[in-house]
Amino acid sequence: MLFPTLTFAVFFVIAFTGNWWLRPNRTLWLLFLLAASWTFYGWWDARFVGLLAFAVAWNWLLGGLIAAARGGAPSPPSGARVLLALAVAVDLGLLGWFKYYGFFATSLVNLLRDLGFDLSPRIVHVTLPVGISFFTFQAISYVVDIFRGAIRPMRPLEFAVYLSFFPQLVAGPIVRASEFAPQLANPADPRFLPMAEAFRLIFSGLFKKVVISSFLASEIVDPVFAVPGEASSLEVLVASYAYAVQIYADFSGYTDIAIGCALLLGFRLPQNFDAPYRARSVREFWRRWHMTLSRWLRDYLYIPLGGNRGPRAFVYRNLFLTMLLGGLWHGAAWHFVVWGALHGLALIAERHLQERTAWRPSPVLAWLLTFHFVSLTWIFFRAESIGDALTLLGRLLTAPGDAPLVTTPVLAVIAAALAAQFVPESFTLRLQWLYSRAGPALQAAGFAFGLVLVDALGPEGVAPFIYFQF
Amino acid sequence: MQGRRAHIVRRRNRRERLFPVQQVAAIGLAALILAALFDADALLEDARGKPYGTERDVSLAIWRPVHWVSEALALDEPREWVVQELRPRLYGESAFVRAPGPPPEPAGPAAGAEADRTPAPSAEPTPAARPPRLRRPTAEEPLRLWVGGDSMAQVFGESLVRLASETRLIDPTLDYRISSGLTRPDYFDWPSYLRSVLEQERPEVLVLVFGANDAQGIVTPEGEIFQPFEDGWVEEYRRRVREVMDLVEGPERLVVWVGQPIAASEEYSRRMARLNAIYAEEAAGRPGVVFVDSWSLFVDDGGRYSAYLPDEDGDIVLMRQEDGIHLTRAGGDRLAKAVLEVIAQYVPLEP
Repeated sequence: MLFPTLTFAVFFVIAFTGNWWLRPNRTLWLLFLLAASWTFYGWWDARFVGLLAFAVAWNWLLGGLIAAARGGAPSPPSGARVLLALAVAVDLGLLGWFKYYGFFATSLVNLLRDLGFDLSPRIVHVTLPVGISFFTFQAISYVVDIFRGAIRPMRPLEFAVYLSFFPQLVAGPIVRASEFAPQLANPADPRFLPMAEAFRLIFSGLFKKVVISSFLASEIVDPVFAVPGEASSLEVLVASYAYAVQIYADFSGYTDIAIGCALLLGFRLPQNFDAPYRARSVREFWRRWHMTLSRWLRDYLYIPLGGNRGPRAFVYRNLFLTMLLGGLWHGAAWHFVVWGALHGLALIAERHLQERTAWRPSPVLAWLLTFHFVSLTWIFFRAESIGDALTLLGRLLTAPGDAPLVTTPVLAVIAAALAAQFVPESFTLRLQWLYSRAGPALQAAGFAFGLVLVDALGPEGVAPFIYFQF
Repeated sequence: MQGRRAHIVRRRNRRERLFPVQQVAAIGLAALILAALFDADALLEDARGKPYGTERDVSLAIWRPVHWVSEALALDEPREWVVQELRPRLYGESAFVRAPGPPPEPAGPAAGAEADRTPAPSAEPTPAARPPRLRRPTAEEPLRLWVGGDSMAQVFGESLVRLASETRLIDPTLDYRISSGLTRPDYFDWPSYLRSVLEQERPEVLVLVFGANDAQGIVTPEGEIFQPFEDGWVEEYRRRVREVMDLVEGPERLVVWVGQPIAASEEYSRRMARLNAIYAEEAAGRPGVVFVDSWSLFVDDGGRYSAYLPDEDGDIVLMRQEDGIHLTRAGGDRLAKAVLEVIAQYVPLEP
């Protein structure tokens, strides 16, 4: 089920009503949340629900076993370690099967053919269940946190709701058990709902996703990336800015809607974006971009690799590997690997400059450098292949000429979206405060007008969110 | 730290009001009902666009009264204003138009909605009796190629634009409309849109892809509804294919009509095969229209659907998207190459 649809509006009204109606009866309430979440997920493909149910059962079981093997010991015994390895191996195995099977199967068949073994097998086209990465990451964080003694095992139904909770199920934020479990244990007070904040998030999320993202995609990004050989320098440059805005609007828009919907149900999910294009270093960018993934990669990949400990070369290696795997996670394709590698190299270079030289760029220069690095590396992310990305980068320098795709509205939307990153939070809070003080008629009319504005300005038909595929 | 503390204090003073759940429910529901009234035009339009059947009838039964109330209270005005005043300032006339907006009015004295409905009597030359004669394109005056159709024209069209551009002898334009076809001109009216394309773009090669959304209920000019592949349906659909072919065929224009490829779903494939048969039969008698069979480009050795197929070098690559219908870039490239080869039979594309 996609957020910006009539179907979801009807679904959410039912989910909202059931959520608050059944709250007094805890078991019924949890069962209802689970049923709603699985309905939401099964809307894509009923078979997906089976996979989700398996992930719930497996990780709950292994979480319990790890806790039992661990006991209260300060350092976990080897038995717990084996169980943890097993849990994570199965989780990653499933993720890998669905995400990388096609890539590896074709690579293997083609390799064997080159070696003279023509198998010509029928390769099954595996459907990637939407959002599998996101609940897999949550599941891994759950078993690892139990192993580390950071959390206690959850009850089965509560764990099932945690892993399946529909607002964040398919595209994050990646929530930790330690953030979610207390909200199930001590549910929100139904007398105090942050309605203004929730409505603001839902509206801004829809606006970013349906209007901004779709507009930039159709007006400049898709045409330039579809036929790279025809774009002029100016078009490539503006398309890279436009894609930077598009992917931010698309992904953070989804997160805003998810957080807003969760608030209306009485749950607070962690923030996922904090004006990332304000960043004045690549390091800062990753603290502001897809924050729950950055945090996940730090805690469950970078630190286990060794993190900041050890000789400088080791730290650099850890940084590089983390970003490389982060890139590969987006898909089994070389252009994602290059994108991750470039970010890894940039982090290393920044650290090196910081620690070994006295050069400190002025804030404006630092911002310009960071924004252009991020935008230009997005070209590798968005392009269909490395060849296309290189064509585009080449044309950026060598293709003067007309730029019919660079129109005033395109430039205005990019400029406005970037300027919005610098609006202080207090301004948003002030708006929310004003809305919360308005009369109920005005509140209803204002929100209604916002929804219609989104529908009237957006394209007909809804494109799925970019991050569903990851 | 000073600044941070000040921020927290200010936040506390300005803390937004919180609401009891009943009030949130009331305001939220009121907002949704109001939004439905504000948006009634679009909701009714969506309902009308559904395939003829029960779901459409039910949707219409819901949204007609809402629309009526909305109009009576002038609540449709804000949306009208946004669509009329704001939208056009935002969206340009780009070659790749995604949103199925209204077709541009044809220029000239015959412009207007009325003129669209009745074909201009002698605006188009009569179908040619021999193959179209196309001039020899040059880099200075490249061949005007226009590719359009339903969503199947997207990836394939992009590939064709790439390949065609590489010849340096073709100036391609791609214009596809998602969810469109020949069955539902009320959703997107291809014949009248093509008429304006012929007039304004004067394509010398026209590549068309229809059918992906066409196996659904159809209304005859007499107002009769037929479901797919009933006799009346086939007759009406055939008439429309003929009408489009009559319209686009010309002595100095090549029309390449691309059929639908085999799909993962057998049922869907059967339907597409029946449509392909109609296209092929109707193109058969016309020297200016070439039917390109895309079906056989995407079957395995056994003639079955396969998402993975060997490419030119024999490497296995993914040709189809997850829906089992649309093409990947590799699939689009394969079809585009076949189409360009057909074009090359009529036009010298070697410099």
